[in-house]
Amino acid sequence: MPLIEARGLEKSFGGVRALAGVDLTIQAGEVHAVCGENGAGKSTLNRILCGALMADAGVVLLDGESVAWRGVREAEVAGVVIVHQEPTTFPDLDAVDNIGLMRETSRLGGFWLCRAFMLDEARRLLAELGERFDPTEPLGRLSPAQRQMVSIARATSRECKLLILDEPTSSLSAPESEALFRVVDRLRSRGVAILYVSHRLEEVARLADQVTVLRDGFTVWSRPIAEASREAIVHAMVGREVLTPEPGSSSAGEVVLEVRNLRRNGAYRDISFDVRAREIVGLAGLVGAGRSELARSLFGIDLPDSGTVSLDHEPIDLRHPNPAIGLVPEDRQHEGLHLSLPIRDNATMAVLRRLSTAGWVRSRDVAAESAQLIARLAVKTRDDRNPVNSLSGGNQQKVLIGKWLATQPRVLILDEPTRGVDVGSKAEIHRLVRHIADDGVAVVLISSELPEILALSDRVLVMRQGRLAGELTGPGLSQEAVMALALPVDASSKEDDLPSRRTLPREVFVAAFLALLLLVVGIVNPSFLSVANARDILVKVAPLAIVACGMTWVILAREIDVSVGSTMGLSAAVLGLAASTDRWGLPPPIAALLALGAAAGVGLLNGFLVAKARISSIIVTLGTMTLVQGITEVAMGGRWIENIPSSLRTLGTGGMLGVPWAIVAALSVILASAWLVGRTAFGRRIVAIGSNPDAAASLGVPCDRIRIVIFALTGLLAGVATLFSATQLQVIESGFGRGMELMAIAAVVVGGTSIRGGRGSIGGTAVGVLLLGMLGTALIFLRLGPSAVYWERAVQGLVILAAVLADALGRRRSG
Amino acid sequence: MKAREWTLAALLALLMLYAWRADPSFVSLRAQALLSTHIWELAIVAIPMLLIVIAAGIDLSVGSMFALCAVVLGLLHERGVPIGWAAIAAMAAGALQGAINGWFVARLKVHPLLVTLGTMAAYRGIAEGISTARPLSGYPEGFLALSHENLLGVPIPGWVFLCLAMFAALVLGRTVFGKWTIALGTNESATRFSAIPVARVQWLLFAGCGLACGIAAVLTVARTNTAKADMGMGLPLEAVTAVVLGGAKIEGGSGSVIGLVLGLALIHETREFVSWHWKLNELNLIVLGALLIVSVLIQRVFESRNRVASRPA
Repeated sequence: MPLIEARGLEKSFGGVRALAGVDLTIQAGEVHAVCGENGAGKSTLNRILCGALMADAGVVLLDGESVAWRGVREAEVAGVVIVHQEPTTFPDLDAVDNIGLMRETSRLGGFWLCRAFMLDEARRLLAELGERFDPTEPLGRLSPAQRQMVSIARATSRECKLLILDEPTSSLSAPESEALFRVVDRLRSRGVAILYVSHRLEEVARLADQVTVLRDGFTVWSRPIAEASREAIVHAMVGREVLTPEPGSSSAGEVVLEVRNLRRNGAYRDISFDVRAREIVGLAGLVGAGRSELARSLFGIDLPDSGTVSLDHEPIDLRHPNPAIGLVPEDRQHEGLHLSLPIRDNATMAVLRRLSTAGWVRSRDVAAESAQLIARLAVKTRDDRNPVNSLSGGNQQKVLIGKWLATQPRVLILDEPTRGVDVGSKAEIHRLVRHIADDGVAVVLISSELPEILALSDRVLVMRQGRLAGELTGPGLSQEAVMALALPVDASSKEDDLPSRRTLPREVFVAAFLALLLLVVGIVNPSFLSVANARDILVKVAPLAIVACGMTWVILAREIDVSVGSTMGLSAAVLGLAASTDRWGLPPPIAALLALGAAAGVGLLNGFLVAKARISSIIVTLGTMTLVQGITEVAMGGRWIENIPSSLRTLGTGGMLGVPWAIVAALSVILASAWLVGRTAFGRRIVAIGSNPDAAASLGVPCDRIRIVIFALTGLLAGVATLFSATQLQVIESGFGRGMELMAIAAVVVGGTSIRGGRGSIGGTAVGVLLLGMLGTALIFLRLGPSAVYWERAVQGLVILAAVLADALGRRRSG
Repeated sequence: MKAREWTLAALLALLMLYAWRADPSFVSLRAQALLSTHIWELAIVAIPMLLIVIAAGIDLSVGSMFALCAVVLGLLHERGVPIGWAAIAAMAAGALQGAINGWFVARLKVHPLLVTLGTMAAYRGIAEGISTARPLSGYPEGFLALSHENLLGVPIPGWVFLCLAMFAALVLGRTVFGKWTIALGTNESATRFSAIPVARVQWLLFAGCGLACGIAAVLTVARTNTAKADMGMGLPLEAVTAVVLGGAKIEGGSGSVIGLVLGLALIHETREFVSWHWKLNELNLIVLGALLIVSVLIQRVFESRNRVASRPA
């Protein structure tokens, strides 16, 4: 009986048929390759098999039983796991958490993670894959290959019956791919079935037991590899013969590009070479050898540290892109194209200046230019005003190349021009590149596919660990010769060759600055360091600390909440109205509960709107901020609230063993938050969402529920902060809490938490709160005169800017 | 016009129709001209905010730049500088503040939310510091006329706004700079990889925003005869609300001047009608917040319907 069998799978998206009847049978312990051009239905098939999509018709049988998974999680539990083309990892989490996410080993129902156990498990799994790097390093610092290995370790950490590998080698270099192949062999011998999707037919030949070819949503045929020759597979995929590109016939011209002793620390060094007109120079090497970094520098995006580049014997300024040098970047979706903009705008994006008069765009010329490019490159589209993401991958790539052809460059750098492009378009692009060179352009071709480099290049430069390892031409040019140069001489020397800096965490800097401030103010005025003053300052910053903890979770999850200040205002109004003897006069505990409930309610509303209505959190909380502020004003009817019972006011003024309640509460919240973020499954999931929201969702992290919970908790904390701060006052005004949201965000950011989510800590936030909160008092104690108090906000602003500046400069230094 | 703009126009028409039935005097030109005095500062600041949001940025410091410009004007006038020069200096101060924001965003590549959060505190703090939070008043008649005179029934600040709005619409739709702005908001790295001077675009956008804050500050001081460091506290969030209500995506890449004008009009007329008809000033905020959330919710419903219809394979 086959392990998994799919029969007659059909799937349509809004009238477009992606699958029109696919059959697939996979045996246990078999590597089953699936080949097909882009759009043949491979990814739809994958997504159905791994539970991410439901088929419209047809059945999937696992061990002979019909299954219908309603999500990736259910498929994983049943033993079907997918590793996506782009490793879906979390750059801010370490390998331990990446492997263990959503299957954490924990006690107390997820509230106590067993880190030591998970660490051992991660080490063991990685060792099985032949990897020995430190699993506590954040994944963002690892190489793409190591990240891929972490994904595979994750996939094999549970009992896995079918492993789906979707283009697993697209970001791997040759030896890394070889390591992956060994892993595949080992898994096969353990009886795991592997569904292997790849455009690289050499890999299919090397690995597969069985090959299935898809075309236009149908299964063309499925055969054992022995009966499936390369030509047969290609023929079945495209339904026609594919031409192999002819190597260049014309002779190279004048030297156009001269690179001399170019160096960028941490990326490449000692780079010198020439490129002539009508010449294609291949740039080969492993991923991470510095090829793309060199391309970015030549294009004028990353400034080299030393060296010169000349164009037609004139040195050029590398601080800005030079109009005569074009770059087709490797990441088409993120760096190459503006996916949602029209094809026309994309094609003319780099030449708008030429198509304009004194800054005014000549629309007719733009249309003409676009039409001309589309015709020249044979881009298949009906209307060039459609967005470019309506095109297939191959046609998108043609538009991207056309965008640079339009600039009539002297030098064109192509970085992985056929990545993720189907076989048919690949051949067209190869011909196109040859034509571009024949038209007199000096072409630099970067590719990780050796056959592509060999077929197209007149000369091949090989990079190894940031240096040029050698040049190959004519008869000496072979795959073996390139690999011999590209492979590291000594793997251990890599560290000192390309130093990567590790910077101290920001908390340390902020804490040092705080200590310095304490010292300076303490010397000027020793009473600043007295216990009584410390107590006053801590009581003053306690509410901010409580609110900022909530804000830290929100920002860690890549969201923001600007409504906390208004929420505090509402909470204070409810507290005052409920408790005040001349208003409702309810018992203080009930008043406190109502105040907390109102605050949590606002948070819950935020959470629902963000998670369920999918409105960005800044808009949602901007709306609720204004709304809640209005409700507060209406509820208070333009009057202050007085006569708050003294039993309630002890929350703000009383204490335990001489420590005010506010400080006790703030410390408890800080400790609880730190534990929540670092030590619970929930906290790790928050970071995962902030680090990579799409990947988190695809792994079955309950993102919506988590977002709702953190917004609700943040609202609740705003209520808690209110309980300990509004009760310090004699009267409650409607403006209570205003501005708190921005102070809280500022404290979180000063404490080193990234506004882009995923990275940060509660400890940093606590330090940030202390620093921002004590500036005002410090100004007064510095005895600068009576007007010093007016400068508090300016100093706060400057501290925030200094933190931002330090961050930016630190980022720049470490590249 | 897109669906979003038609929706806003329809809502606005419904509101005015209801207002006309309930209270015809509200719809009269004179009442409208009188009521409009409150909206122009916000409207003038919202235009550069729209362009910045389209470029996937945000400027939270507009209220603080506005206040610092006003305080600069007030202090210079107090020191005896002729009011014309003081006004020019105030506008220059605005452009300078905006340029500082732009420098952080463009050269240091810091997220605009962070930069302007910092400068929001810093600029207002400087305004408080140099003025010791005093109100600065007593301006010459000729200067006050700037905001009190009408031209063809529209107050002068209204003309300033109209000119700026038309300028912004032309820039966005017809110039290289406008195309670059949209490209930048759609995909910043692809824009860098298209050899577009991203830093210059960002720098100009933020400096322009500062200048607009300076213009708004001068007109406001002329209207209220006072400059004080706590002016314009709610301005950044109101401006962002108007921009979003007008259909711009906060993630960048889309938005239109027509949408913004309709959004501003809707906010303005709703607020004014609520306080004119029911004498309820407190409801203003509730209306503003609810408008923002509901309009975006409606947009989401439309979007999700379209997405189901045109999902790619």
